[in-house]
Amino acid sequence: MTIELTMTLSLVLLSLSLLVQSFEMLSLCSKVITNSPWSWHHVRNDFIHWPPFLLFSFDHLYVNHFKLLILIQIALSFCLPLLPPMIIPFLIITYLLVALRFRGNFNGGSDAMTMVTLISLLLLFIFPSQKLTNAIGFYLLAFHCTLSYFISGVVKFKNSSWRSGVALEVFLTQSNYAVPASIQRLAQQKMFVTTGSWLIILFESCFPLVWVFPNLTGLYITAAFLFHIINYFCLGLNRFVFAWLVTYPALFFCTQRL
Amino acid sequence: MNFNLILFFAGILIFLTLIWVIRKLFNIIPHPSLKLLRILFPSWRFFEGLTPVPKIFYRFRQNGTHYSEWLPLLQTDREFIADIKSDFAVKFLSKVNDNSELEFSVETQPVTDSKLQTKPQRNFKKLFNNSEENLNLTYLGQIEQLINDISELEPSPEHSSEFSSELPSASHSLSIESLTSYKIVYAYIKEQILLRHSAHYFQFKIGALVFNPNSHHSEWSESLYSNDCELL
Repeated sequence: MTIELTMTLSLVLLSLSLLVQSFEMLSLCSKVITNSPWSWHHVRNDFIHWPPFLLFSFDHLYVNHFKLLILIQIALSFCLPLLPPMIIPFLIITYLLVALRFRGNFNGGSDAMTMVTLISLLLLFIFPSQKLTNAIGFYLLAFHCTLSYFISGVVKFKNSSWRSGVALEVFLTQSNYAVPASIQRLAQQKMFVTTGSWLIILFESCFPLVWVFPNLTGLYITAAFLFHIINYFCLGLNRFVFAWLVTYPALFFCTQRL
Repeated sequence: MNFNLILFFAGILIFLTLIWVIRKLFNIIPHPSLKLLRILFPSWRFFEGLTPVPKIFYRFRQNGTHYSEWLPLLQTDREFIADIKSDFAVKFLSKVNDNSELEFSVETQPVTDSKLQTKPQRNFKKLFNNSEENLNLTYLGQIEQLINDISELEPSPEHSSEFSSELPSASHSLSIESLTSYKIVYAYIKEQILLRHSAHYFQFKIGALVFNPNSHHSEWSESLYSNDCELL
């Protein structure tokens, strides 16, 4: 895979991911802006120690122009593959502003991975266009992709409730996620949750192997994508599918260069 | 190969340096602000282990009438109530009876297919727009945050009419009311009750299910118990 193709794929996928997130936010605007639990007059309490000019700007932005902010983000996301060096800095700002509106993030890890992707791709453009420095952004993105699975797997492995399958069972049957009934029924079977737990632990913990055996990268990426799709069907975490999908071209590119 | 490995480790070094610089910079900013910018330094510790599962119960009444039974507020809890094991239900009622005359409406029948009513729509279209469910997840996050915030609060001698004086949480009720997470969760509870009932007053309880691996059962841990709150 060439660096140009990796760049194009990353930008197109990032654009798609941002569009999904932005259109979701647009559809929620009317439920979020006024007379809702997420009203700004509740959230602004968090910002009272911030510099007054920032608080004043946030008051103005979040009360009167939040929808405009989302529309701008949509427009920027559409144009991202065409003029990335000019657009990425603005997208970082709009994305951070939306996250601040929801006390730091709207959708947890997917927000963090999207921000990591934006910063990584920005690195590709703020350095002179030499192949050496160009790759740093991709390596950072591939590193985060690997790290996200690895850390997640190791913390599960260290937890006895995960190793015994109890954590997965409790998570699927008692948590507040709307888990489909069919999955809840399966989660009551010991064999299913124990096997499922170990598959998740092994898959996530062994993810760094793609750096040792680059031939496995395609297989791991396919498995990772399926993993996120299953997560979506079980827990409804649709944004994670797109947020991690964006990182795969960089991961493939970097491991193939080893 | 060596060259690329150097590049990879250079990326790691840059990342770690950035994290270190950011953390140093944040030392001059109050702690809550650090939380607001957590999107910039991810932890990647997803679903680490068994964490307390937050739950909300409420009851409502109109002027001059008695309160309704306690009802679960969260959609998934409607199934949970029917789903809990009888041992746990006994503990649940016992806990409530220790503190007040109130009783929860709890079914203890074994789980059947008809009790598992959660049928979320998960299709190809929803993969691209699952906004309602994602919004609900933000409220769940705020309920978890509220429980954490309450546990971190230092008790104060002040009292408020919003909370029962019989529970420990009442002693620092004024501090609780000033929490952003409380304001959001309170508004969420109010919104949900208004959507479902025609009432003038309501009460609510917030707590969490904590799974005990030894007994293989969840135990109820209450964080907040309100007095009468006006709906309109």
